[in-house]
Amino acid sequence: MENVLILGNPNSGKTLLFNRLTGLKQKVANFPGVTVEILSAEADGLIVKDFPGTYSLKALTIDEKVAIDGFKEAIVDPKTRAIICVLDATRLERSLYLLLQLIEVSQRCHCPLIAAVNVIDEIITKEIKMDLEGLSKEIGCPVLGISAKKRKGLKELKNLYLSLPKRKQSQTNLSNDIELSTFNTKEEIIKLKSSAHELSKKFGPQNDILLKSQHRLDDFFLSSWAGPLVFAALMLFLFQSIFTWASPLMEGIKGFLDISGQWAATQVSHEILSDFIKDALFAGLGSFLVFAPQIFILFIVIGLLEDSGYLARAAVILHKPLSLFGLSGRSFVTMLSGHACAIPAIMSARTIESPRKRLLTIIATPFMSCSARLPVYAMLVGGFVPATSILGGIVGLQGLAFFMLFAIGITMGLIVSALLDKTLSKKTAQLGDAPFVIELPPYRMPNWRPIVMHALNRSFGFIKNAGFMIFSVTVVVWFLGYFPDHAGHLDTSWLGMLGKWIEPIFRPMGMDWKIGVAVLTSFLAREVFVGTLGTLYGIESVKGDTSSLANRLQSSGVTLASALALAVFYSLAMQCVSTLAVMKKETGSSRIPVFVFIGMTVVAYAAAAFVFILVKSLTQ
Amino acid sequence: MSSSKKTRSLLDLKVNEEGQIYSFSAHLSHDYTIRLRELGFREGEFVKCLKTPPLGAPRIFEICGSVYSMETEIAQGIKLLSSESEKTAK
Repeated sequence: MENVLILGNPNSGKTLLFNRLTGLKQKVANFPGVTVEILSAEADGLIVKDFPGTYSLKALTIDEKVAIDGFKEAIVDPKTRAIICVLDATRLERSLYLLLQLIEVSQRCHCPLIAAVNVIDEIITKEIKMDLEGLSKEIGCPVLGISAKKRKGLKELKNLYLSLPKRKQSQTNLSNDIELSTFNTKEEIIKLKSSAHELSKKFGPQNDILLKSQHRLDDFFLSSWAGPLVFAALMLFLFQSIFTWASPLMEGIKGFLDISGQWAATQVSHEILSDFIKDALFAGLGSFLVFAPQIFILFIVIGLLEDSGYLARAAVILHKPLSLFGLSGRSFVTMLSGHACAIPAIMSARTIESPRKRLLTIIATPFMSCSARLPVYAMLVGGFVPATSILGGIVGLQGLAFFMLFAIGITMGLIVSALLDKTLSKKTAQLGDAPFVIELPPYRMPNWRPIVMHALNRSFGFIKNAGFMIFSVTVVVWFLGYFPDHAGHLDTSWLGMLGKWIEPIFRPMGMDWKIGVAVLTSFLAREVFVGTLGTLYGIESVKGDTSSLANRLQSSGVTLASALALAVFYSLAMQCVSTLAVMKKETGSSRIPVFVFIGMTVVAYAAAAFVFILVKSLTQ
Repeated sequence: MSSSKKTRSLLDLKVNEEGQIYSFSAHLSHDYTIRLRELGFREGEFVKCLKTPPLGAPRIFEICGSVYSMETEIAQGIKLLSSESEKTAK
């Protein structure tokens, strides 16, 4: 099958165009470096390939190297039918530089090239003049105005590349040509950049109205007084919203599951099967499902921040503070994404120019409280922190406790990064450093539809992926906890015997054997914890008991000291096999994930034991 | 006039002040100089300092219709013509 390649500068709208052409829902956002791998999908009998953004055909970061290596391979492939170069109409000159390089290479390889000038809707709305026809004649390649966001010009673009004839076998071995090309020399760069400048001046937007509005907003968001305040308020809003907005949905799901569980159990006459449905399926798997709305809200709020263009500003404001810990302003974007999921976040660190800072960011990211930790936090905060407000009702105590748990992870990530930066300075110095330069994208109104769709996809994906593992573990836990004496005799079950044997390991953190078993199972994946506890307390509970898992924990004797120790343990422990795997892939080292796993587990254990002793002594 | 007398760095620009790029300092790596030129920071081009953000954050510059935040280390390596030389050039 033939290919169509989508290339362009970072944050020019390539992935949104890819989504529109293929019907997929890949993540898009308004900051540079969201796509770090080549994405491909079939559409209209062709394979459409979306490349990571690059400023030129010379790579400086790992994501650019992925794009350029992939491009070198694809351009000499006769199956490549056309290249679409996506240009940003609001920053045309910079986009034209890459286009001019691509024109030269595509002519050498006899590969058709189409220039798609994106964000054209903003130019039209503001009635700014722009001459795309003139530009097309001047550069000798078709130029189309499109808006991937508003779905304008996409049909014309599709018709254009579908109507192109099949390419003949290329005569040029471009892999060698690119290495030998003069794109590296000062003269060639200045010549091309001057051409881009002239073309932009002659045919580009004849008004800097968009830039002026960007400056006005930056005057506020980057001002000395408002900048740090807005940032702090936004972060507090993020954590408050997870707790506050999700509550009604969570209550609804819990109510539905309780009613369904009771009803389903009565439909089966066989006692063991009925207990299994009630305790393993509804109490186990259901305990996890209750927290899905919080995961959804988290993705929505992060999506809004990403799409608005604010994240790049936050990276600028935080660059200096983060550099004290050996990190870069760009590390903030990775670490914020880590609050959703560490796996794509660690991959997004590819955009960090400095190899040393990239490694430190990768090691610090698993400390960020990902969405899998949310159910544990929510259960403990909801059960042990009173639902009252402070500061005149503005700040909820539960939301604040949530914020503190996230803050523990962030603080520890920064401390570990700083310690590694200092103690491993010789080794990390060998990796090389690179200074910080970041482009500030225009502010845009967030596009709700893709954000909601992305949040829904991620939430369902999360449930689907975790669901199978939770189900498998809860079945095993239920079986071992149910037999040989059936429901209500958990202490004398096989699991009870096993749990009591391992209980001494967890005692210093104030945890009994049931929590110990749940912690152990959650080393497969954090999500399993709540499911396991739900099953254990389900087996133990009396018929008709619909109290929440947190209430059951309280009534079984779990104290505030134990609950806080457990929360601290979860905020610091590394309990995700997939994160370790992606860490190995991204660092190219097996030792780093092993070191991170052991280090985080030891830190989590010590911190949890300390919190337990401290709180216990204060509350006695 | 020697080049050292002729030039100042991007860091010397005050907010809303514009300067013309003259050369790059030798301490900037070759790859970085290439990237800066690709972004528009090339000899002869005018660059404007837009803002000095809070918390000691890297300064913000506008060049060729795009806005960049740039660490001190790089900004220091981009040499500008002195105000007098710019007037003569204009």
